[in-house]
Amino acid sequence: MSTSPHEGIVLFDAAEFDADSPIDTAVVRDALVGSALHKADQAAQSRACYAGTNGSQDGQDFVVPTTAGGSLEVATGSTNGARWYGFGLTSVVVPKVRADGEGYELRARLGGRSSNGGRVDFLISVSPRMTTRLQQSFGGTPVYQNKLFTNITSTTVAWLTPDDASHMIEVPRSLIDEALALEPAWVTKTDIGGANITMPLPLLEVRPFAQTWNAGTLPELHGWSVAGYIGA
Amino acid sequence: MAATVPWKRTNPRYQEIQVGTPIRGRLWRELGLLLHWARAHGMHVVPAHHPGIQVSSGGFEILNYRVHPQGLAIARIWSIVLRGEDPGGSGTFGRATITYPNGTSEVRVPLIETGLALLGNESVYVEALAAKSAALTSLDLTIEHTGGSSAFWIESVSCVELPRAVLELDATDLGVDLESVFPGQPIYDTNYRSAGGIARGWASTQPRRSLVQQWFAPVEITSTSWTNVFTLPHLIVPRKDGRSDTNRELTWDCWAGADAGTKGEYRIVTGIDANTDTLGVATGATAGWLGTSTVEARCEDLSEPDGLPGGSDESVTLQGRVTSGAGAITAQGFSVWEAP
Repeated sequence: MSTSPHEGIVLFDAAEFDADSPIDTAVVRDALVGSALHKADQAAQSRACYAGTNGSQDGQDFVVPTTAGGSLEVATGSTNGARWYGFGLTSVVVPKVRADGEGYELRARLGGRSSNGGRVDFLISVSPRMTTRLQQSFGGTPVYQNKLFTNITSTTVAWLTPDDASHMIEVPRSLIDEALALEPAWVTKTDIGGANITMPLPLLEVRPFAQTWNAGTLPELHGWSVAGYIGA
Repeated sequence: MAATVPWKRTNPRYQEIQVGTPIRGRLWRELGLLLHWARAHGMHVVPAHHPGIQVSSGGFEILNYRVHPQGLAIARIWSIVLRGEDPGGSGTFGRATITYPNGTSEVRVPLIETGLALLGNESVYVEALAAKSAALTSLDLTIEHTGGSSAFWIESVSCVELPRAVLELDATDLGVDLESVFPGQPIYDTNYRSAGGIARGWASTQPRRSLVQQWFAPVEITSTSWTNVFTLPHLIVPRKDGRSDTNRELTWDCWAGADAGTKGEYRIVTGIDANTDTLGVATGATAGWLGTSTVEARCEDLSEPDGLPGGSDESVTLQGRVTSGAGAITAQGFSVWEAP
């Protein structure tokens, strides 16, 4: 018997319908409700997930870009880890709200290395799409969640272990509400060629960042992956 | 009547099915709403990735993605980040024209940014579709340099299907008239209504995941030994269908070509079981999709707290090698998805 990690959802097994036996109530539960919940789980994960995977034969492709091209411009920030640099990698994610009204979790992975053994840090952030715009215009502290991968000194390219040893990023309901409040109403249609209709659509952005602690040390990003993860 | 889609999941409770007790209308209604919720959320058809391709004055890049959608989407949301190069004192900013798979275009001027780079430089575009399609297809995204002097870089591309606000009561959407499952209503075995409509809807619902969609700068391989195209394997989480399933069949394809007089092959290798599958590149082949093939990979493990099979990541690695000739084979696209 297989169960979901969240609510003990039982998968439906057609073999339990024997020709000569009465159908057990539990089998009806599994067939009618269990399989529906399982498919809904699959839909939730397929919808929210796989915000990105990168890879390259050449790690230089993933060094923080600068206008000079190719390498991290430490002079404009500092070398003490005080400034995060983005890679220009952005994934739009439509978040889910669980049946209990709460948010959900993303499973985050990040692969990279230090170019020369000096310390570098990485993070993956999750924030409402419009928060970024507002922060750019007016300043202030953005609302976001993140997953830190700090104090990386290895020069071997590998998928990294987060500081808290957990790959899960909580996407709380408050973050989704923030996205809903900021995002303009989306105009769509009822169907192909159908009438216009508006709908609320919270959008989140998932992005990797990096910083260095030493002049001449470059954080190299070789991969990132964010998969949706949701229970009932 | 259209079938409305709730914005959060409902929670039908299977404990409500009891021996000797009729199933209540509330349970049917919860099942119907959950059906709409599950069907109305589309796929993340192109996961965000980094093409890392420079487009100079007069140039263009056609990015190709092999996708197999579920067939319910009426629009797609594209998220594209371009980064401009500094045009210098006498130069002018490069201008990009992005043409989406439906033929519509928009013009962007990629900004030059560092620091918290490119946060405001993202183009979010809603691409309306002319028809719903569940066919395997190649999405072609063209990004062309159409003005100015400085080059720009294609930093990030991702695409999600726009969620549906309503579903139709028809054979494609399989929405259900929720008023037909109110308490006190008779049970009918009929399409788009009542218990029969809900059962048919769930039977035809098959969520699908687009696992890897990667377009990248051309990678040449001249070695006759298997050579990794990427430094890291791509992490994947295929879905679990049946109770006893431990594996799931994945379909994959590779966009590649070969020099004249040279031929080779690409293979996909899974991380946990090291299953492999190979696609050949004909001598002197023009770059294109090699043709789909399949490989077995570990699927989600629902007995694990994080859903990972045996608690470990499943992954796929793309490798290539030359099998004859002195030239190179060249790859530029890699797609892995769940077939129906």
